[in-house]
Amino acid sequence: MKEKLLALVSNNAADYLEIRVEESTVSSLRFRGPILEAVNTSLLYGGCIRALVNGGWGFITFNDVSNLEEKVAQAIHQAKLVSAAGADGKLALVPVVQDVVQIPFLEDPRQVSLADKVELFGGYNDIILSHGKQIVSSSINYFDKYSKIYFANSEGTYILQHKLDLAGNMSAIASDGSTTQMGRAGFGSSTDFGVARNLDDKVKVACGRAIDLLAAPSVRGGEYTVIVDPELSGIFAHEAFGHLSESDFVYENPQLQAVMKLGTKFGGEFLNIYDTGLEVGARGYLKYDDEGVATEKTDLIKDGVLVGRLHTRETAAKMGERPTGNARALDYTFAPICRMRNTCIGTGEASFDDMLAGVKLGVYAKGSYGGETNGEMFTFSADEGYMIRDGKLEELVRDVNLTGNVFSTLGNIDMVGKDFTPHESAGGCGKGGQVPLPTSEWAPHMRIQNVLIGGK
Amino acid sequence: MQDLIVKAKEQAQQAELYQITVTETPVRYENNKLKGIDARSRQINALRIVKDGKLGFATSTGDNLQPLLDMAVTNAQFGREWDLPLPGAASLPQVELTHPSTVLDTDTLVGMGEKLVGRLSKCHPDLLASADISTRQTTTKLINSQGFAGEYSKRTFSILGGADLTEGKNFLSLYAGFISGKLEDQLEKTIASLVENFEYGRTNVPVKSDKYTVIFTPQGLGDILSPLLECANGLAVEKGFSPWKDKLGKKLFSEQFSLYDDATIPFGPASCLFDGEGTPAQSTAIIEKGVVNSFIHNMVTAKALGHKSTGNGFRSKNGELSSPGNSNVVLDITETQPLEQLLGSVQQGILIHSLMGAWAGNPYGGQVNGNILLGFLIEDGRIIGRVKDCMVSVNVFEALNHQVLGASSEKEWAWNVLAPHLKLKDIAISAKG
Repeated sequence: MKEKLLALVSNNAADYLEIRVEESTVSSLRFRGPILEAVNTSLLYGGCIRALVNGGWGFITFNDVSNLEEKVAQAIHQAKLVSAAGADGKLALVPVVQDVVQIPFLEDPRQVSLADKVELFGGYNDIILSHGKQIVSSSINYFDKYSKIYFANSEGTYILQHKLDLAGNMSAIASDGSTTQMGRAGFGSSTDFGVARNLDDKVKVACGRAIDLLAAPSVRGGEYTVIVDPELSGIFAHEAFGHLSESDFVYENPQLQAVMKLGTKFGGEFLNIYDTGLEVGARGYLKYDDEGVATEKTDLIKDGVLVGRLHTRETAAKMGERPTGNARALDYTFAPICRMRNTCIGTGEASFDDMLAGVKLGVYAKGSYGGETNGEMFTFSADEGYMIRDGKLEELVRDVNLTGNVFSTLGNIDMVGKDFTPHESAGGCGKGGQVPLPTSEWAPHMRIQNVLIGGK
Repeated sequence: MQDLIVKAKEQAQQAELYQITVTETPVRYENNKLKGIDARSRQINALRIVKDGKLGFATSTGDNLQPLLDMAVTNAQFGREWDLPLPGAASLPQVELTHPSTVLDTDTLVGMGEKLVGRLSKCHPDLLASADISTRQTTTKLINSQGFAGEYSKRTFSILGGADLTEGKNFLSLYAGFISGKLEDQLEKTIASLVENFEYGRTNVPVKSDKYTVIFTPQGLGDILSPLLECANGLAVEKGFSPWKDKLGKKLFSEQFSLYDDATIPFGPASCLFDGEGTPAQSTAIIEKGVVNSFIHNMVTAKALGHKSTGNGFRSKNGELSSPGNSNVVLDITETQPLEQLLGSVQQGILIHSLMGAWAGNPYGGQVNGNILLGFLIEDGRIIGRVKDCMVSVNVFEALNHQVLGASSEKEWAWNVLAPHLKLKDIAISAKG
């Protein structure tokens, strides 16, 4: 494969050529209520070629990996058309790499029989369905994807990466006839099927939450002091700042470059945000990105000050900065774009009691249903909330959907907890139609002033 | 394909092979420039068998059909029990899927992109326009051991235009677009929508927390309709998630309000001849004059509830059959007036064009909370500026029962939803301060 791919991309008619070939096997299973609804196996095999000619990009995807020379010619032809329209694409220099990356397995899901997987998740399903009469149903999803990704470019880089992504979600669904509520427990890993084991207690907590939410009132809309748990803190880092740090958003927008000037103060000196590809086991772990660039830990905010951003080779070249290994593609049907890996809020010094102290009226928001951003504003939705009155946690509330302005909210974070927590979920990130991309978000508790919560 | 069915029949009682090939050629503009021209092609194969009364399933890409049978047989050991015959030979509906106007070469697509970017960049020197313009050709084939053999081809034109203006820490992000089997004036409409919203969105105006008359544009309605579509989904009904499980025939909404799923609309973005299981395309009234009339089903959910499949057994991108999916969704409101009058009659209200994060919630409670990504304050029937940093909070089950004030007589496509502007009263808006 190596010689074949390197020979293919050594075509002189392009300034730059790359090919990526992916061979993946996906196994999945799905329970809905008592029934194991689906047990699927998918084989994916295909590739893509990207060509840069005189500033213009051509990109082509295919399943059929024969006649690759013709496909190279077509990508070059398309690139020339784009170049004729005055394109100015370019790439930052990176080291030439030749490497084969293996998966540092703790437990390989391919060594676990289908029968054992069915038994494990069937066990969780039984816990949910036998939890009580208010639990009306369950939903369990599990998948593992094992991939071999071959990458070669015209600079001489050749990388074969073996990759694993696995994740699952167990949901308990409770109903009292008029309302339906949900409680969830999830897991994810890039090295270990073991994270799917021994989750009985988490599943029971999810059942309890679904039932408790039935009787909980909706939160009243308004501005609150909000304490977010590590899971929501992580989603905050991802939605509220991570996306704004993706340089494809910034690199051709001079107005935004002025706002996002390195050295600008965004928060208190206890605020640190970084994005890393180096945490083995995280779903956002990756040794090389999809341009063959080694990943790293990239500081974004250090001691409250903007110090870095996430780059592809093109955004780095155009901004005169260093590539950071953030060019990622969902699969062979997409070109790489600037994406996060594992986005983290660094450990602070506050305890949970410190955060509660002095809060007259607030909300403790826990767990995440997901979030969204347009760069300036963000929203995210919590699994559950607890009112805080005079420094004490009080009643459970539901429908807690938080929103804010990125720039003011970062400045409104007044405490970061000392309980940094690695959290992996079954969700994924969406951008440019490439969803769900495995990412991770690790963080401690945080306290934020003046957060707007929707509601009546 | 037929060979595999014959081979499968040696081991299984029933077998079905689904195959879809897709080729598309998007041209992509970013930041006012042509950034790339793509050519994408893919083929997905999905085999479903019934062995010893249980379903087995497997998918692959390209010409890789050979391993499917062994994988499906392995998976069938754990598969769902199945005792229904797959659809046999059937006469398929006549649905116009593709108009010749969608045959467009790359130069034409590039010309459209130039026009869009050229017009938008005249709005403001710092405005950054984007566009993704494409034609997509799909061929869908389905054969099974019960005698069904169907095939259809479809070509759609799609345009997604965007405009972004950053002024200090104030971001204005706009988008508009269409998918259709017929090229009409989608380019012009996309440009007009972006230009109009840009003009309205230049000025930010303050908004106070209160209850307002709110008009949702067809684009803004997607998040409002989503809980209804989730509750009507046969899977949610079968599993007991849906609060509508015992509500067929009950009037839950204003009699002004009807909601349809219709895969037979000529040139509709999601129109087809048959679904991913060979059930012919049809139109299903989900809500008729406020009454819950039907759920949407694939064969599995229909069987579980003793209903008939409504032809909503659509496949995911990788060929899987999971929950039933919607085709084209049509919203009807009986009391309508021209959009100009609908807007003109609002003393003080909010026009909502898009929400952010409203999907992240529990759909079965009907509660939709979202940041107003693009919304405008209406005073004395005129749009006076953009509202920001605020949230809308609607319980759509209540709002579509007691708070419907009417709709525009004009309807527009917003992706696969065909809807008017919808006017609702007493909608809660939460704002800073």
